Amino acid sequence: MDQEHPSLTRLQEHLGDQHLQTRRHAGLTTVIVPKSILPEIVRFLHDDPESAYEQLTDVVGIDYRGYPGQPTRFAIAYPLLSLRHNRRLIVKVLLAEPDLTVPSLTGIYPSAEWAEREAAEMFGFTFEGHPDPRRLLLSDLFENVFPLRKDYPLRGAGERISFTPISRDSA
Amino acid sequence: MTATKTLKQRYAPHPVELERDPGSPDSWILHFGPQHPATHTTIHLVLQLDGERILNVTPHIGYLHSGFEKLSEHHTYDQYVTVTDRMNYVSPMANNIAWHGAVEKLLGIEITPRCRYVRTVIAEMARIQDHLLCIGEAALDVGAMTAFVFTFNDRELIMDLFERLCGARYTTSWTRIGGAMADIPDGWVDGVRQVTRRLPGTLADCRTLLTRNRIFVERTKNVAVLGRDEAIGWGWTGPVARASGVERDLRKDEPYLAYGDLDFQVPIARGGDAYSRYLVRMEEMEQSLRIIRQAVENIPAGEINARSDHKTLLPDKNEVYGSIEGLIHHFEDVMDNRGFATPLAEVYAAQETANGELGFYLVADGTHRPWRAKTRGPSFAHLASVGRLLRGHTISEIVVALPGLNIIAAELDR
Repeated sequence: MDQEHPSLTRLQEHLGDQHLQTRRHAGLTTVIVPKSILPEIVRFLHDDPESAYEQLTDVVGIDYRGYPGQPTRFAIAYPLLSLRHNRRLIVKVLLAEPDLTVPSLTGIYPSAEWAEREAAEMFGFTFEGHPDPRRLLLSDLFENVFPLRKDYPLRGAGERISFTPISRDSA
Repeated sequence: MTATKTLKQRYAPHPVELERDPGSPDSWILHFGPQHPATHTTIHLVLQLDGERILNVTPHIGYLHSGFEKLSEHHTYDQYVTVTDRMNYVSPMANNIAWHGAVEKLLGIEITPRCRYVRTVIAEMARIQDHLLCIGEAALDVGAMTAFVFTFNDRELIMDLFERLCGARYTTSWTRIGGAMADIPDGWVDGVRQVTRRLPGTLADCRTLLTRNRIFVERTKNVAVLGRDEAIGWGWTGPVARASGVERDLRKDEPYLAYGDLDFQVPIARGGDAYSRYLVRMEEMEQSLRIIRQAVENIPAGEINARSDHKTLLPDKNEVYGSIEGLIHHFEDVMDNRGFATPLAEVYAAQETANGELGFYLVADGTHRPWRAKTRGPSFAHLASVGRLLRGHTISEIVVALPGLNIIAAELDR
């Protein structure tokens, strides 16, 4: 485990002998977390005064289909920010089909609400415990299709071919 | 089947417990937007009202969704800068600089001192440009037309400078990996000096018009209040967060470009309301002017573009037109089937733009195209809390709250 990042040392103390994989690039540390303990770890990073990650910057869904050296097809990265210590840490969860459910972080960070809705509609993830799992950016025509997946084409008719015109009376 | 949903079903408000019986004659639903002058672009708010008081807000966004992130996966790192212009179209230069700042962090490229200073001057001018628009519109929406005319007049001067720099007012696309498309033209620095001499007068005029204007103060004070802890939780950044007492500015906390060398202060307000947001933005413009004055007098000589042996950076134009090696290098960089090598790495990089933290989460796959380029737009986090902000207010306060947040729908919807 990378011992340079102070929060990782704290996290390791908290977890005991459970080993977490880390990566480092351009001064940023990423810690890869099993999804079963994601809320617990994020809750710890949020509450622990030595870590104090008060802000969830974003929820980044990634599709690694065809990417060299990735064990799973999908991943979600959560860049966290500690204002008190001026530190960043990226928590990452790896996901493989068919089980694309992840525990929602809306109970810890209100900002996860929209960010998770966006990741869900773009990649097809299910955030368990999300209070409002509707679509955010896309129209209702995008049913069971996920535009940011790598197998969704850049060009083409898109989903508008399944558009059914509605009359004024039925509206 | 969602396709057969009626419009009423599709835009039904998200069910919440209403404070009053929905059957009561005073309880009604109002659709605010998508086309409404106060939303400035397209935001759709479904309001559940009790008389004029807002019980619940269901925002619908996505009317301007244009799939930037999908596009990014099919553009090279240099080409995608044209798309970043269209994110926050109020200050496109700031997006250009933030995008290439992220790419340079990913690739580990050091830009030249000259480029650092020039980019700083331009990023600060973009901030002023953005704040001028924001304050002008916020004033316009509460009926103060004159301030809007004043701010737009001066915005035009900055626009002219951008046009002289890169030939475009909005679609600037000025930056490149490791530098810029061109160095600053002759006499451009004088233009910047002129702007820094003229702007304080305009800002003083706006202050006279607004800061103690009883109508403006009464309409903005204690409207759309959010406290410090809640602002952090909702992911607020930038002037909006600083108006709620969050002491955070990436220019100070994670110094990039030339900000580490320059002397400036970060204004903080504790009110957390629309009026505090106005005050913070006004003071930020003064500080930006201070930064510009220092930076523009100290632009180091030398090249604007970084040069290196590995073929990531575009070659000097003289080399391209004057030597066969330069021409080959240029083609290797821009041809679709060639390109340059990147590390298999991921990076999150953010800069302090006028609205807040504009971040890019980049995944590189070894080619000259991003595997994934997630945009973290500040407006997205700000609008997510709009339901919380507007609850309990009246309809007329929406037009005060929204411009105070400076929601830019293109950045919001991506």
